[in-house]
Amino acid sequence: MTEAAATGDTDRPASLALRSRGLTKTYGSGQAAVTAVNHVDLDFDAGVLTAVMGPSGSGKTTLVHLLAGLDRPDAGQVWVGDDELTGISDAALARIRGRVVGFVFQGFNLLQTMSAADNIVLPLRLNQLPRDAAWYATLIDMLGIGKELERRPYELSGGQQQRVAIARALITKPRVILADEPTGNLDTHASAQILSHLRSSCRELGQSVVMVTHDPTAASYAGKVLLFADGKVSGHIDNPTPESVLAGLDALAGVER
Amino acid sequence: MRVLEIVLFPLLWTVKKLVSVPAERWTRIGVVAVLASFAVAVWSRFNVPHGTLTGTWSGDFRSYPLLAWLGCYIAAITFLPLAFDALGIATLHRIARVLPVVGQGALAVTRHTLESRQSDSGKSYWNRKSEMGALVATAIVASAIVSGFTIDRAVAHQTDALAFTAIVVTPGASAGTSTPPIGVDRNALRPAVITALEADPNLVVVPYGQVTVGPTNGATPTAAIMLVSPADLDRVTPAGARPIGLQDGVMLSPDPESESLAFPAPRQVIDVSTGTVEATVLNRSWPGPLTLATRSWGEAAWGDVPAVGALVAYVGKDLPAEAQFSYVADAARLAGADTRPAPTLSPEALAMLRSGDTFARGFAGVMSVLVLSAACIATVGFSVRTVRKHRQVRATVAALGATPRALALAVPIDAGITLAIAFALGTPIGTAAAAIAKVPTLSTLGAPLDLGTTGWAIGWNLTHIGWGLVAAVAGATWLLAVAATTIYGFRVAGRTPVDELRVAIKEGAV
Repeated sequence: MTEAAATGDTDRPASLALRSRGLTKTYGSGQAAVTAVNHVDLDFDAGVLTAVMGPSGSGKTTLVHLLAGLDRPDAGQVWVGDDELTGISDAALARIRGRVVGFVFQGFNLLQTMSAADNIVLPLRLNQLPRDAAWYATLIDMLGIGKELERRPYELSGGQQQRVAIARALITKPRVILADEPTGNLDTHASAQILSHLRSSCRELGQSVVMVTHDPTAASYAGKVLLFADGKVSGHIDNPTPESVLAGLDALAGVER
Repeated sequence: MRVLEIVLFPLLWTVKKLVSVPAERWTRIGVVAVLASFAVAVWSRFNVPHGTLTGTWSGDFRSYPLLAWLGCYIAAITFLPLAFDALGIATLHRIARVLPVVGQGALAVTRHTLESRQSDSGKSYWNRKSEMGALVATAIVASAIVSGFTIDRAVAHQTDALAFTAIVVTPGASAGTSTPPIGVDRNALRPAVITALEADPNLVVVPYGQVTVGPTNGATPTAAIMLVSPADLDRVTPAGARPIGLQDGVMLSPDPESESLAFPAPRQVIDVSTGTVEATVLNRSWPGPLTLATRSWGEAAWGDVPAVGALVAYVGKDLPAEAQFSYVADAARLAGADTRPAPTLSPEALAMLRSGDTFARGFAGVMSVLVLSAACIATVGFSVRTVRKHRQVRATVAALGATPRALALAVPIDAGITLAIAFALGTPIGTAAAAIAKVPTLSTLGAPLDLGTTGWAIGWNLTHIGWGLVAAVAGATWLLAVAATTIYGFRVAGRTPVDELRVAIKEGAV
């Protein structure tokens, strides 16, 4: 990931999986208006796990929602690979969301009326994509959910549900995976497993993962950490450790103070 | 159910305040009240006469049968939706589980919304909504109204089919006159006449006997009863007069002016010669001017009743009415009998019967529109609640690639399946209820009740229901509801997944 705002570069290098230019989103109007994302320019490399960190209300979640095409920006542009998300029809945007982007919700958002297996293959059905049996088996094996496939989500633990949610996000082999606090509801052991899986998918599958987190330990699994405050990028940390992330956050807090 | 609660709220609130009963006992009290009402209604059916011809509801009027039936109706309105709610929800769950998750998300969302629907049967009565049960109940009412109307129409056609060309009588007899002598008419028509007429393939012959009843004091006019064999009427038109209510112990009176057909009491036909016999008089548009009863019933009361005449219908090739009458008259003259004009209703009676038909048609039409509107409004309300409840799922499915169009269509698909199930469950019940309720003697107080005859009448009603009209009303309701929910579906499908989630959080659905 590079902060493109520094260079003003708008040409897409071949290795970029995701980028934004002038991305802006404001909620409310008049004096109550809050700019959650304020003219953000970002480049995300393929095959890299990037953590987005920052204080509560800094706009992290809004940022990943905009990058995933789950929300429309007020201004600016987003590209996933060569596909521009802004300015296209709702149907085209839905197609990109289904085939090119994978999203992991903090609350898992599994359909309680479907089995784990049906939840995992749901994106394939929605997007009329063929089921790659080998890839499906690989995912199940990698995430260790082979025994849970016929169970309903409410019969699974939080960690198991999140692994099912990650399998669902990966099943279409998306180029980009965005995750909103994927370990926010999990214990330390389950978090470590989930983060390992996300990192594996970057290294082994060449996917780009962007993850919002509050946890410095979770962020240390990332290749890079993006520090976000007041709707803007405030800095980044390469090859982070829990200590360096904490220091970065402290520095960010100092800037805010 | 909400509407019912609002309408009944003052009464329910007063009852709850006045009677200090624990909430959990209200259901038991309700069940006991229902059973008691039903028991009184059934008891009344067999033990209470239904009024007098000379003054309906005067004299021996009793209010408790009416109150008992009212109690049954209120119980049906109050409790049936609860029962049908659980049945409807269980059916929806089964449908949902076989629904394929194909397409661009509409069926996935629909499968989830249908399977997530829960019956609130575990809640106390006052906290239940029973929306599915209310839809099923609406379907029952709609199909019962339409079925009832079409059965009435079939009965009217049956009555019209019982048309005769002429009456053949012994020369010099007084057939059809209003003042025959009291007692059994013994002036028999010669069997040879009947045999001769029956030999003509262009004629259908219905021999009849006649008895005139009434008090001897002259204060009340006498009345003549025409006694026929139901099987003979079957040859005029299949099923004859049985769909109209003709059976042993029942008299069909065509005249809506009760004064001109005066009996001292509805169940007591006083005969000067043999004492008292009982029968139930039904006002029916039987096209003869005389009261009609079965020969077997008459002979059980008065002994042998000879045929004093014959109702004759011309069934040959098409001829003008005058030519048909001439044909019968010629045949009768050759056989040695006189011919009289066929019995017809008075213009006043006809006008009254026609006005009754017009009213029934109008009532069925208005009620159909009302029920149709209620079903549509309820379905749209159902859809609004479904969308609100499942915003998170809609947002999730959208994030996974479902198109806005698919999300929009999920709303009418859910509503369409729900309403279709409601009609699938409610229509058989409604039509069966109409077929049972329209049996002429089943709910008539004090009328004779024969299981075989009643079963036959229910079967006749079922086979004469206008299924096309029932299907048309159900189809129109379904189409209108699906159209309305489609508009609503597209209105709410424009939101982004994030907007949908944000609204869900605001509404507390997440």
